[in-house]
Amino acid sequence: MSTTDVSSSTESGHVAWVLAATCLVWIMTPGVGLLYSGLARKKHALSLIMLCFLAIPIVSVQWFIWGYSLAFSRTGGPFIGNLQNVFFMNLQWDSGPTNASKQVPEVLFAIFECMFAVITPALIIGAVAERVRLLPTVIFIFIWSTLVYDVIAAWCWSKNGWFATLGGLDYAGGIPVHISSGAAALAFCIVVGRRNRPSSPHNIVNVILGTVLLWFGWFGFNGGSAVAANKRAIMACIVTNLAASFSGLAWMFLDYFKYNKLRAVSFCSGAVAGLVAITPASGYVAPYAAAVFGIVSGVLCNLAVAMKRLLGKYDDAMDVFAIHGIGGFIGNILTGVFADQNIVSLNGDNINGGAVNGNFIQILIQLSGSCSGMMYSFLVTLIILYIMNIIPGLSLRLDGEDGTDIIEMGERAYRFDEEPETRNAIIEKGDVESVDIESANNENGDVERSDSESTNNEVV
Amino acid sequence: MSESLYISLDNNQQLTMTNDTNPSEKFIRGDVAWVLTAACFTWLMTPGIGLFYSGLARRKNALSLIMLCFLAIPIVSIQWYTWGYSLTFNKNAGPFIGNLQNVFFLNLDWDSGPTDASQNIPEHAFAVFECMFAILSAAIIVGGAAERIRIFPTIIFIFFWSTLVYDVIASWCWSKNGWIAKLGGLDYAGGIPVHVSSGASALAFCLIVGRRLEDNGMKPRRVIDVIPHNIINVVIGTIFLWFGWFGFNAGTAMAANKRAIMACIVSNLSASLGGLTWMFLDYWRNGNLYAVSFCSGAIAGLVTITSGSGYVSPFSAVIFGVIGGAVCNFAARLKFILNFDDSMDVFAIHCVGGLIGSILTGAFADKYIAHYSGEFSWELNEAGELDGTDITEHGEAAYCFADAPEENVIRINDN
Repeated sequence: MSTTDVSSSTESGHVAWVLAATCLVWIMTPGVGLLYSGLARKKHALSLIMLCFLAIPIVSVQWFIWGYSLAFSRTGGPFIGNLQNVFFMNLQWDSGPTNASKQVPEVLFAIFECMFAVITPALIIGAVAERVRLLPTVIFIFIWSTLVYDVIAAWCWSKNGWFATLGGLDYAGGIPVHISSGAAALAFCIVVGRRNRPSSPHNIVNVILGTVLLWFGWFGFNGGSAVAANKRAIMACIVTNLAASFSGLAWMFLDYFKYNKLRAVSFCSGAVAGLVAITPASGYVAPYAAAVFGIVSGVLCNLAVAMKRLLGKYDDAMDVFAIHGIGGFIGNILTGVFADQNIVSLNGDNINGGAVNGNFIQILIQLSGSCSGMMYSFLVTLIILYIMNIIPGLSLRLDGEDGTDIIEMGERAYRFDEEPETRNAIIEKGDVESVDIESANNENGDVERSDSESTNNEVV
Repeated sequence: MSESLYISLDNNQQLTMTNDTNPSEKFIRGDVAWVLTAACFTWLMTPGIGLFYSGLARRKNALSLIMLCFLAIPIVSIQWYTWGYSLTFNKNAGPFIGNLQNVFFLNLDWDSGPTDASQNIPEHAFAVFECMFAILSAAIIVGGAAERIRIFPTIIFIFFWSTLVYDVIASWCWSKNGWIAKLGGLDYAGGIPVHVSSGASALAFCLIVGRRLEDNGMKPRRVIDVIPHNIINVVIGTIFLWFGWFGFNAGTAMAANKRAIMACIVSNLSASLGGLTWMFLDYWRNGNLYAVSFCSGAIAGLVTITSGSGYVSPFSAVIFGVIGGAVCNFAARLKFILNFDDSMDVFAIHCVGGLIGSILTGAFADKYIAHYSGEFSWELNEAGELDGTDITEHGEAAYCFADAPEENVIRINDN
């Protein structure tokens, strides 16, 4: 005798895949944190991974309170939702709120989309690595999620969103996640200013580990956006892997021509760029197109990294704007080119298709969404940050020799073979009156690298 | 649009779903997919706790800590396969322990699991999923006696502890005939068998083994407070734990159903609030936003929600997280006051957190959430009716204090 959760439109297979995808997207956020942490100097390692990790609780709570409602409420407007679904109330069990999510309960769609909302602000952190205060950034994440992410997500994914009703194609979040975070990163690093010292990666194994978690989770990010275990989910997984592969290799070989070395950081940056570019297209394009996405994004994002040196005005530490902003933009435009009716019809849906189907207008539609998302995110982020900087106590910039870890967190990421090993010994020595790790360290953080090494700094 | 499910009436005139390609298979494929995935996620929790402990210790002990936790995987996997599963979940088990009918995974039923919740999956899937719980429980204890134990005796200890403690308590709580289950006690994913038992055992372990020595090799007057050698590893360990906990709690639904979804949501919320609470409590106390505080708090929140993950609403999860984080934070100070060297706060986080979680489950369990796992059930599948908080609360309070002192050599004041 089986006891089953039978209802006509929800099946356990779909729920199983979307549940798994939810967890996979969850682990992308710590992946971003590890990636950024490894790329920064040792004395900022901990604060970078913690800022990204802290995005998880902050945005999870924000999403539960009103984020989901503002982005996805069924009776929302074309630009923003309403407060009908605050605290996950009034969610329907039979189907999700969008056309794509009819196969699963709405509450599963809500927790799945929560993970998208979580990773987006975590991406921004990289741009202002090594020079930003923790608490104001955490407050910024809460505000930004509400005023920028939820709004853009409502445009693109809500049933009534203007971009969706216009026929814009954004499968897993080129505009709400990548373009918006890239533009916000640009605004953030302009407001906060340049770093005082050159920097270079302190732990490339962590960079690789972070890329591993990102690529692994991206299968859930793109494949799970089918919100069903169907052929389109399978195709999304295929194109995701291909795009990341092509892009990683493209970036790495481009850097080989420049520096004559096969660098790990290059491959990792390239892989992420390819994943970013394929994101809006993952449910619409065929595998051959994924190769194009990969190569184009790998090359163009690599060149975009050089932009910050040419323009000279902004210090985007981890090249968030180049990879996520520009990469997302490229991905969205290419979606307009390569979106294929045959792929979409794999699960019975219909679209007008992209340029390959003769529908060249799609490119303009994509352009409209990308540009408006980029402008909106950039401007609103600038305003939020400018206001925050004025309010006493919420200023964002942090300067200091000792590094963010010691100053903001009172901890150091690594202690290898150092004396003393316990806080009791520090107290008994009589040097300090309270248990204070900062005082226990007589020397400052790590040793500064020589200038010649630092100029060869292809941080992304 | 998928025609993979085939609805029919079975012998008892109950609606049942089978697979069209092989109608004799009575399990639901989607549910099996989720439980298998959840088993893999839960597996990852053990290396996660190894990394967590390893990062918190001194560099010279880093490898032994992660290896002790990692070694729990093969030891307990073998023990589970040999007789652990049988002693815990045997269908003809007694109220206190099972029998040896299912040793070496013999006589398992492909059609359904041995408990009411696991009717949709084969018993084999249930067995391998529960194996991961047994592994994790043993690995947790290692932290209590970190930096001062020998590896070989410890792995022998793990084998026997799993048999004599974990299997016994798990059969009380989860076996169909277990006395706590029959009493109506609610423990969804293992507050008692996994966390309270391992936390209390860790306390016993650290009392037996004694305090760590100081830097100069002398026995200290007070408990020493070690500075972590690699906090990045602590964070990575917490990442694997939190990620795996989705499988731990949501997989306990034994199906890809609404209860699994709800367990996912409440786990995430409780961890978030637990982490923030512990971190801000330490910020208020010390003026710094410690990474270790956030990680400990997130784990405390997850431990707290474990018993209640299939019974409570998202609102309640917020309360679970805040209370769990706060109480465990205060409990972590106990080792300095009472002078026992629980290196990684295993007692404070797991035992105290598990107890708090059990009590709060009694307060906040909601029968509407429990019914999410069977809309078409003509009879109740849950162990007992969940009507009101009084009976469940008394039942909860009674049993969770009943087993905690069992593992303690010296009773700590737990009133």
